Amino acid sequence: MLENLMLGVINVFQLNNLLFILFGTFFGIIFGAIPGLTATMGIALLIPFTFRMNPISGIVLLMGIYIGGISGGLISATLLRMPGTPSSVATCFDAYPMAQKGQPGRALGIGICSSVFAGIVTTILLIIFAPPLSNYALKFGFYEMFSLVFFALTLVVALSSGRFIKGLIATCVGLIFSMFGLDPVGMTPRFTFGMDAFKGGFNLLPLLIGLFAVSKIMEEIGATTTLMVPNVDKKGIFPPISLFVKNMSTLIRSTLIGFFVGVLPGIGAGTSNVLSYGQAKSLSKNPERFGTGCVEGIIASEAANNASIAGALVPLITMGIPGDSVTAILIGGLMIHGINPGPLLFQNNADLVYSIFVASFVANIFMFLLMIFGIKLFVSLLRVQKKYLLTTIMLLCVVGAYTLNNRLFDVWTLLLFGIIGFLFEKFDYPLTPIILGIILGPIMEKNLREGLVAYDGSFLPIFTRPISLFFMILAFLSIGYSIIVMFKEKHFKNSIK
Amino acid sequence: MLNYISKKVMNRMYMMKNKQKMMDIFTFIIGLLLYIEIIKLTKYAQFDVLGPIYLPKIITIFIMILSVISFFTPRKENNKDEVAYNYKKIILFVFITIIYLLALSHDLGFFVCSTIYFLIFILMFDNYKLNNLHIYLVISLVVSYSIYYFFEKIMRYPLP
Repeated sequence: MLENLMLGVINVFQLNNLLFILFGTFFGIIFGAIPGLTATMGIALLIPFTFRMNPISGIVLLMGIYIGGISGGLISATLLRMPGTPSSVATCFDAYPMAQKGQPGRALGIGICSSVFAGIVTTILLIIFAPPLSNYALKFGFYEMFSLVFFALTLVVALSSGRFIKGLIATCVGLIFSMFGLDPVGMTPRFTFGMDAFKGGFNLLPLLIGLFAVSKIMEEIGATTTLMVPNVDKKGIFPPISLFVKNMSTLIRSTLIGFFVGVLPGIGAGTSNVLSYGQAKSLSKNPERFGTGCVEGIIASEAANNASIAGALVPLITMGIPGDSVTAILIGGLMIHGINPGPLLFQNNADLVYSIFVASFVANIFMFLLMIFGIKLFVSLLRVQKKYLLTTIMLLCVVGAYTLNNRLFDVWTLLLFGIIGFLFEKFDYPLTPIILGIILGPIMEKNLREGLVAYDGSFLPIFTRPISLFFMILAFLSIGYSIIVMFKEKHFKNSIK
Repeated sequence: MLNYISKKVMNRMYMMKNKQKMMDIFTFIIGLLLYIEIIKLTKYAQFDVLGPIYLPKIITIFIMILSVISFFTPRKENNKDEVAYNYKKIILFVFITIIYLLALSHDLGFFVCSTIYFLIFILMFDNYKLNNLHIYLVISLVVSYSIYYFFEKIMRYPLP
């Protein structure tokens, strides 16, 4: 392992790769900070720039955007009470009140330091946990992979925060879109509607850019709100170490919550920050201080969301299953470079995997330095007029989709999925299940059908092979949990009436 | 024309007791259309243990059933978000993007099409105020040319 880690260090510490990480982190912070733009959108937008790069340079750039994007959400959450990304929702609860009390620098400083601590600690956890888990995943056969994917899909539906039916519909829609084009076993063309263009199915990249970037642009066009960005006083941006020593239990607990929530397939920083905030509040000696500018609240949210980044990379690297919507796009980025994430990644592309680890470490440090010393610049970027920003992004989306295969069909796909993404968001359908359905659909179908061929058409081994049975039990438990939550909510609403 | 369509769409959305039901009908129709499309491939089903149409068929049926369940699920309506939302701009955005893509597919050139698209887009944001038209025109030319130059000349990606 040390040998590979050194290889990763050598790869990442080349000047061009360090500059790519720096640029990616800077770009990511901007995307995280500006409400309406997200880390997911930033990655989707920059993937086309990586086509001609070597895979390591491309992926370290994307890692920079990922870490910068999740961290940048802190800025708008603190100053505007608008989470730049879903991962900073809980940050608003205490960072904004603290900023309103005349301490925006202190609120930002606490958030930035918590983020970098969690980011570095969980990168170490990632380096420790990922290799053995990947070795274990090598034992997975067709039905084990099928049941793991099935569990991942049920989990993301179960955690669709009270939108069980909508989560299920979104998953099914994602699965169906993944089935357009040639089927993964017999190569039979499906859902072609008599058109040749559909025979290849939808390309992942325009589909992702459409769902996450174009739909966001549409949302921003329709929004009638305007931002009033306050000035930032940097006073207190370097919080004393004693403050973190005093809140060490919250910091460590939130880091661990963030990491393990991130490890669960399909959910990431968007869930972990709220969960960690709730935990910190319930375990605090002074829960009444939460929501009034409490230090613990900021630490809980910011440590958890950054910790989820390394967590989400665990299922991606070891099993090829995205930990959240951002890693789903990272899978797209890897595939474009001909790399298939999964248990064999450690064997076939160890240099790439360890470069990702080292890049994660470096990007956290860059994020810390950029945000501490460049905070005024990022705040001033919040004032850039959206009409210029969104229009430029739209043109980049079109170019990005087109350059993939030099065909306009991909640009039409971009628009189609932009409209679908917008409608789904507007009608409160979660987008993550769609994207997981699209990415996991072919893996699920291929493994199920090849498993049937291998076991003479019998489904029984799904329930007799121990690993497969384990994931199926987890899957049914998560379905059961969602149904119970749904009925409890219904009962609660009825009792209110 | 556009005004008329957007008004119609908005009126429909507000007039329906529960606008969510429109989306349920939409997903049901999508499920049905895809089901009809996939059963055309029944002839291929016999050559494989599970067949290429088996899972798509189950999933399309599932979409239809879930849409029906969602349709009959009572919901509390919350319109406060929609009141401050400008759907007319979104419909216009889709409309001009379609025109832009059609223009690109007819070889009118990336730079020219993108400049016009950019200009219309900014004007739409600015509620069609023509006071700063000259500034917008310069910005449109600079941004479109920068993107064209970067991708076509530096990165050597062919653009439409």
